[in-house]
Amino acid sequence: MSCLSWEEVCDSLHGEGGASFLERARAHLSGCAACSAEAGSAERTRLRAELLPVPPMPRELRAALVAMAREADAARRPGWRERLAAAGLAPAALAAAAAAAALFLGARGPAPLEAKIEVPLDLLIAAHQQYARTLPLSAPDELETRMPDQLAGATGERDVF
Amino acid sequence: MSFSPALLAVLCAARVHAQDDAMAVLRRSLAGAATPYQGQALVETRAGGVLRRSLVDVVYESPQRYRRDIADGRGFLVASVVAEGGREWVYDRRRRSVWRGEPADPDYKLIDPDEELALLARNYELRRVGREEAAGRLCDVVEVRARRGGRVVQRLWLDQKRGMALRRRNFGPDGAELSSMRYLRVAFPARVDAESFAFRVPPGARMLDSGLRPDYLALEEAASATGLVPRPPAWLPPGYIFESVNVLPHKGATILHYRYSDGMDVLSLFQYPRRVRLASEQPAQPAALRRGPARLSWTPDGTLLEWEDGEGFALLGRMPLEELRRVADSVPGGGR
Repeated sequence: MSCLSWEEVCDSLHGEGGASFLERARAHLSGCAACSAEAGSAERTRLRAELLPVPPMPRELRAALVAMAREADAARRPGWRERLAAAGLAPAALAAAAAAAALFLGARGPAPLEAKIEVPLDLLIAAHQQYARTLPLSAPDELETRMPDQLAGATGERDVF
Repeated sequence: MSFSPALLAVLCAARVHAQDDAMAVLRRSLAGAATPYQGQALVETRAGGVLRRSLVDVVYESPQRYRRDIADGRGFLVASVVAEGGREWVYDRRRRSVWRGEPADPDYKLIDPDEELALLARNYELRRVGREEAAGRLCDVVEVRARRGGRVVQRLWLDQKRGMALRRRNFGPDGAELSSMRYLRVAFPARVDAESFAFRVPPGARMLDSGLRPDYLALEEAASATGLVPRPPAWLPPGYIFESVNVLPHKGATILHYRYSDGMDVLSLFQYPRRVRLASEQPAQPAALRRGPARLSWTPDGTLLEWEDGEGFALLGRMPLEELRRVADSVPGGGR
């Protein structure tokens, strides 16, 4: 596979473009330093955008975005992104706009643009441990020496629970 | 060397007797879970060649009422786990955070205790191999051996009078000790001080909800409760059975937790929507499944395999990687 376009990098990050494309894109990204750097840049931009405070979205803009998203979803092609690009937005701003729209719509709107929900892996491990503690030969004295570290390690300094 | 049929019959009968004897000791131990005790245990865990020591001060009244204060190898108190009134608090002193949840409850299962012991006996041979002292008390030593492969997985020192485990050693596939616990001292007071179970949030600590609620559902119930289409694996490692599903709600996402058991060990499969991203500081390496790429990492609770196929999946268990892969490959495709 040749190098990915910016759009293809964004599609791969958002899990769009179909299973076959995603498989090829992931394989390419794992071996291509240039595309991998592009993907890293896009991901960092997306994460930065996620950290920005979210002001209330003007009703008209939201309605327009929802309509565009529905249209894009119906057509099963990234038409809204092309339109934004045609409006002259730079690639980084494009990614930030997509992430901001995803944040708004993830909280309030339809599924196609929903934001990712971050779940600490160690919550799953704690659930596994909680069940393990119910077995006849379980060892809660041992299990609990590991539990607090796992929960704390997963959450860092943020209140994710 | 050959044995006469009569001698073989005697040996087999002795073996069956030893197993029955050990199961009787274990049943007595489980019945003793209602005995209040206080004591201090030393826990040692080996991971990646590193030995980690913890000292645990325990005040125990019942499965729903206990307190464990955990100190690190240098004796600094690092955590407290307190349960009372259907609540469990885990206080992490280093991060000054309190996680509130509910204690594990063996009653919240589809399988009943007798079926569970039968499952354990089907997969493991329990034998009483002697009597030794632990924490200054006379104990029955019970060896737990996997019927598949025949290796010793655990050795237990069960107090002869009270039944509680005063010492425990866990062994890995190569026979090396993985972890151990032994009580340095223990006492069985008629009553324990109720004040021990009173948890007060320390000033300045953050209170967080772990969201962990012990519960159990059948597959059909989980499907109707969550709207998710359950995708349990078609293949399980020998000896394992599907026990139940639990639902973990987190920030608007619903995660299905399938629990599989062989009576002693647990295999967990988590199924979650695509919009969920697992956050971890755990180093992982790429792995391959038949359906595509996966991520592989190691935790003190076993090997963890994560992959996506229409939805996200995470599989956690102590079995060999090839068996985990086979379980993962047998999860029905997402049809995308």
